[in-house]
Amino acid sequence: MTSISAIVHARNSASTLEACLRSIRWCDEIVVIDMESIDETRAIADAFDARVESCPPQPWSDALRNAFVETCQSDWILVIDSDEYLAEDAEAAIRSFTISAEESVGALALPRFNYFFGAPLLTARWYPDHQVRVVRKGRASWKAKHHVGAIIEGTVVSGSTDGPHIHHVAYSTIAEFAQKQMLYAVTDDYDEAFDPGAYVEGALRTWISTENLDDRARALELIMAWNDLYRCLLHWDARRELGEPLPEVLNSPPWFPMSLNGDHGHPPLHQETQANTVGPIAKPRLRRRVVRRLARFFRSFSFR
Amino acid sequence: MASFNELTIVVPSRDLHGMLRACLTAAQCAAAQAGLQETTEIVIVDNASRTPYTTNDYPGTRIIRFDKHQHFATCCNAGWRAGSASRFLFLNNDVLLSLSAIEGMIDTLVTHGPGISGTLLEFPNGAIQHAGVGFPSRTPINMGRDNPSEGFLGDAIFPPAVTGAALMADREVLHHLSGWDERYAFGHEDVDLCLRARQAGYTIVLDRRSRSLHFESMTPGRSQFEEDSRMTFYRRWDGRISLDGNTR
Repeated sequence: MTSISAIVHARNSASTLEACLRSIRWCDEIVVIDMESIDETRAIADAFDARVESCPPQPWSDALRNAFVETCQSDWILVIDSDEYLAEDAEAAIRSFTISAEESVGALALPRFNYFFGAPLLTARWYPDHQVRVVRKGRASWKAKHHVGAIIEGTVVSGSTDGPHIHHVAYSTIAEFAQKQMLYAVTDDYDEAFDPGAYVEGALRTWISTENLDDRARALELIMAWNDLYRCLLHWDARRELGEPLPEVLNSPPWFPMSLNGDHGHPPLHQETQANTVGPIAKPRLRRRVVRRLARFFRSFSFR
Repeated sequence: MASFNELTIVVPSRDLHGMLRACLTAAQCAAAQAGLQETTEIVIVDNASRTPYTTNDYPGTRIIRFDKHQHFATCCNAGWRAGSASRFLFLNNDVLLSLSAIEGMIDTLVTHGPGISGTLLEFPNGAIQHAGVGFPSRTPINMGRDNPSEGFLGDAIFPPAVTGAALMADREVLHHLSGWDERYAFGHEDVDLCLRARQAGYTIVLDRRSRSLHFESMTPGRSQFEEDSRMTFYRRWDGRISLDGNTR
């Protein structure tokens, strides 16, 4: 029989922590890392007999895990956020995974339901949204970046969508969502090679992909498109400050992905959209005009 | 807010959001009619719906979520174990209770109980879907099925078993029997529960003062389990049930 420790980061998480801890009370050990909460967070953690550790608040919590995972007692670690919970039958599924996992397996990535404004969003970006959450002790490490997952030694098993999920009570307002994305963007590292084309292409792809979605999903996708654009500028700024030369490819326009208009041999973008929700009828001609205008604007940007 | 609940309604359900919403509305009306508006809690057991249920969609309910599809009995057990009331009503999501159904079921339990009570269920075309379960042979069947439902109205009767589609049980019964038998995949777990309750000396009673609607078998993909369940039932009960439902 293998044992499982759960590790939860919390900062003023009183509204969601109870559901989270109740859903993992079967774990052999629960460690709550309290980032100086001033609400009931600590009392709730105590009520579930969790071991409470303290650390100063951080805009990101991924890298904090490394040190605390070392202190866990079990062979496997369940990593869960304070605004997430598991289903009633998660224990059986996760335990049977840890018992049957071969030595070469380093982690299990669980699919995740993201609840926005109280309802799960099942569009391509948000579902199944696999997250590496069950890791073998000593075989995982995290980097201080938001869009980088855990680094796992060994294979990562991708959990079936018929099996256990993470249930993420994500955001209840647009403001909350936008604020969080901005916080992530401005506190990120930007230590990879700067490729503005990838950012802009990502933004436009995201934006175009909204045409078959409902309003709620469109609003979030629009923020994600915007997020890509300002990440591009933040990345540019970070590289500039370091005084590093920009990649030569940027000097030979168009670096901008012409295929966005669907006329350069690549499949047109809208084929990748998920048409699983009904939205307002798109105006393709207007859309094409706006995309061209936006593309021209970004091509004129030299990023020097 | 009431400090205790008199009734917990447990609804195991998978997808069929519209059906579930109608089911809960009817159940809430029936609870209000019985004077239990403030003292009824609703527990939805989400049996791996592809789009999970949320309390936004079903305000005032409690939702227990299974990510992997579970046996009906497992859902029922999770539901009543999470509930706080002294009585439990297990309800299928395709049952629309009549206004006086809950009042009637409670009344028969108070009069004849403790035990398990059921209610008359009819198809949308007015034919009987359930008027008690009997044993003309080794296989339990819904008595009176497909006959016009008018003739079935009347005083309470005491069939060998009642259907799990709308089954009310006292907490002490469930507690005594350790709940539903989770070995049944789908089907016959309700009959098994009633037979075990009879063995333990509890009453099985059917209230026949109102008719509720049961669409039956709305959730796809269940029949694959029914054969397994029937075999489980035979292994447990073959040769141990007499015609009147008494057990050895």
